[in-house]
Amino acid sequence: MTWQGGLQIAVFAALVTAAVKPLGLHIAGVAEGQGASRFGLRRVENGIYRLAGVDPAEEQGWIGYAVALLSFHVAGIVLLYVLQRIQSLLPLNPQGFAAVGPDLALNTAVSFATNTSWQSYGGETTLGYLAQMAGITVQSFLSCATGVAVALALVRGIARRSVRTIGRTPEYLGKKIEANEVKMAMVALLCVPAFILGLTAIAAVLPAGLAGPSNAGPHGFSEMLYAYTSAAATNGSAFAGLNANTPFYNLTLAAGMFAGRFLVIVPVLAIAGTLARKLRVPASAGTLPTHGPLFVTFLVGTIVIVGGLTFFPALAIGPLAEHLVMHAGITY
Amino acid sequence: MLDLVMVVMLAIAFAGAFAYVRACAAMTERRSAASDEPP
Repeated sequence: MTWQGGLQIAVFAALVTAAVKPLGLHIAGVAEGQGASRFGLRRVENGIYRLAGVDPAEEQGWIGYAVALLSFHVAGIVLLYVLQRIQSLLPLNPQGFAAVGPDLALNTAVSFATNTSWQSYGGETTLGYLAQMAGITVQSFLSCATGVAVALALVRGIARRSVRTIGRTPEYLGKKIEANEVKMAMVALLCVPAFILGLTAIAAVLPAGLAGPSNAGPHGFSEMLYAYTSAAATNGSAFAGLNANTPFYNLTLAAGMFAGRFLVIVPVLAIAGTLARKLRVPASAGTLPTHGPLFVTFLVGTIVIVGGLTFFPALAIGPLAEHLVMHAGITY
Repeated sequence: MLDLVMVVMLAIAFAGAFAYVRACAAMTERRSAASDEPP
């Protein structure tokens, strides 16, 4: 490591550490509805509210929240797409990079707006400084910020309304989980594997999909399965050996990233909305405490069983098959 | 031309996402009848 590299790491660590308390208090203030009261940001925030025609005192239902969030991302994805497509005409492109191709631009726009950071391209040889600064970096921040906004909505949904009867212990959430919350949780849970497995299946039968993996047999299948898993889980990593910078992979992976982000966020917001409406109820003999071993066993069992049932068939013809034939001396 | 195709695909994706919000809303609205929570 060069001394400049070491210095950069040290300065970064010092800045992050120094920011913990002031930034933490600021975020807590925003989360608790006091607005941006610190760092003199109140005026800036009020200006943005006025510009957007938003009344900060007015609360939003979950549907409005979801529609606003999606609309925000329409603008973000379109802006990032356009920035890449016209980068050759824009300033701050000293290397003179050409416009990014349409399918790659769409893939990259969806990737960074969904916080996946999947890159089908070489960053240093494809994007100019403006597209990196005003596009990629901004969306990297905004996608995290919208994730925090959704998490806060869920926390508010659970935490809203004080106990009417007796007090609550810190562990007890006090909101009845009913059929509707379970339905929404199932939708959130199932739409991601549906896209992962569906898109992998399509890639495994179409010539355009089969052209992607550079390895044959189960290893090639694993490359495809991992790519769609990584995309729909908004993770963004890939097996070496998959050439994903093709129109087929750019578009199908974009679909996976889109679904993995937004089709999960919407039912989570729906759960937040329905929980917020519920009254807190005191714990009784009929309560299943969420901090006890029984609930933890149910939870872990559900994860293992649902995860196993969902992914085992695909894993069997991918990594498991590869491992078994490896013992017979066959590699791909 | 290809840009138009991309924009149309994006429009379809977002139209689907907004329809999905409506579908989830329809499902959660049905809850009030089934729930034992007070309105």
